[in-house]
Amino acid sequence: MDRKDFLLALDEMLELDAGTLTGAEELDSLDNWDSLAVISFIALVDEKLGLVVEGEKLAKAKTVDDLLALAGVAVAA
Amino acid sequence: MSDSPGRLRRARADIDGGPAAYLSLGRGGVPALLLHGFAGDSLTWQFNFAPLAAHRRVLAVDLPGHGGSTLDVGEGRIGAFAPWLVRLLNALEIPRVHAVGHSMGGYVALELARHAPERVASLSLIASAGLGPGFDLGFLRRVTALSSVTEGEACAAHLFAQPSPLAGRIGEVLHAQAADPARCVALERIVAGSFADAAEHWRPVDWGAFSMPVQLLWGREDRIIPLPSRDRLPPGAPLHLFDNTGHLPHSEAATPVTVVLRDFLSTCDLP
Repeated sequence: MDRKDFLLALDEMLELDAGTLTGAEELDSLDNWDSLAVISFIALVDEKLGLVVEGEKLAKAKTVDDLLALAGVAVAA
Repeated sequence: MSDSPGRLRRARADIDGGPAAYLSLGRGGVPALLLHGFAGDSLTWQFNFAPLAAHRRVLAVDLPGHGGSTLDVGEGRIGAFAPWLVRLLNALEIPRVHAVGHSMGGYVALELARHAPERVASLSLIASAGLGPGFDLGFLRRVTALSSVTEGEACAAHLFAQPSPLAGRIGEVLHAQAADPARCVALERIVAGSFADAAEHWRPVDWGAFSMPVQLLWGREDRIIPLPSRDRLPPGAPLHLFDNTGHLPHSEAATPVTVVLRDFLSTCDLP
C-alpha cells in the first residue's frame, strides 16, 4: 500500500471525500479524529499492512504524516 | 464503520436494567470483555482494542452510569453490575468471556466472576479496585466535583506517571461528565454505594472461590490504587509490573500490556 492508497483509506475511514487528506493536516483539525478513529486506524494498519501500531507512539502523533510514519508508509510524496 | 461481522461496531443492547452500549471488533474464539474504570468508558481501550481482536471477538462495554449505557446505577453497588453484564452476554449469545477489567472495571470483573463463574474463562485485573481499601477516595470525589476543564486536566495528569498527551482530552471528558447533572449523580452514587465506606467494611477477597485463571497488571507508579500488599493478591497469580507507569497501564504502557493480555488469553483459551 503506497502513500496515495493509504491517504485514500484514511479519507474513507474518517468519512472524508476521496483525495481530501494530503498528509500535512493537524489531527486536532479533523472533526472525526477521535478515540473511535484511533481504534479504526490501528485495525486498518493491522489489516492492510500487518503491523501493530504502538499506542504510546500514536498518542504523540500530531499530523496525518505522523500516522503514515507509524504505519511504515513513506511520508515523502 | 461496517455492520459486517468482525468489523468495528458501536451498538446498544436493550436489556433489563437499562441499555448497554458497547464496541465490538473481531470474531471467533472466546471473546474478551473489556471493562473500564470509574468515570471512563469503552474508549479507554483505544490502543488495545484492535490488537486484541486479531484472533478473537473483543467487546468493550460502557458500564452503568458511563458512556452510552444506562445512567441508572441503582444504589451504586458494583455487585449489581454483574447480573446486568450477564444479561448483556445473554442478549449477544456469548456463553463465556475472558474478563479484563481496569480499576473499577476490575472490581466489576471480580463481581462477574463471583456471580457467574461459568461465564468467565479468565480474569485479567489491571490496577484493579476491589482488592482492598487502599485507594485514593478523595480522587474519586474530585472527579465528580470538577468545576473547570483545568481541574479536569489536573485530575487526568494524576492518572499518569509521565506527562501524557492524553491528559488534555481526558480532562475535557471528565469535566463534561461532572458538568452533566445526571451523569454526576450516577458517579456520586457509585462512590457512595461502593467506595466511600470501603475502609470500614472491607472484607478480604476469598481467592479460593475463583476457579478461573487470574492475572494482575499494575503500574509501579500508580497514585490512585497503589499495588496492594501481597497478602491481598491471589496466591500464585502472575503479577506484571510496568515501570514508569501510573494508573492507566493499558494507555501508558499500551504495547506491553496488550502483549501480556493477548498471551494470557490465548493460554486460557485451552479447555
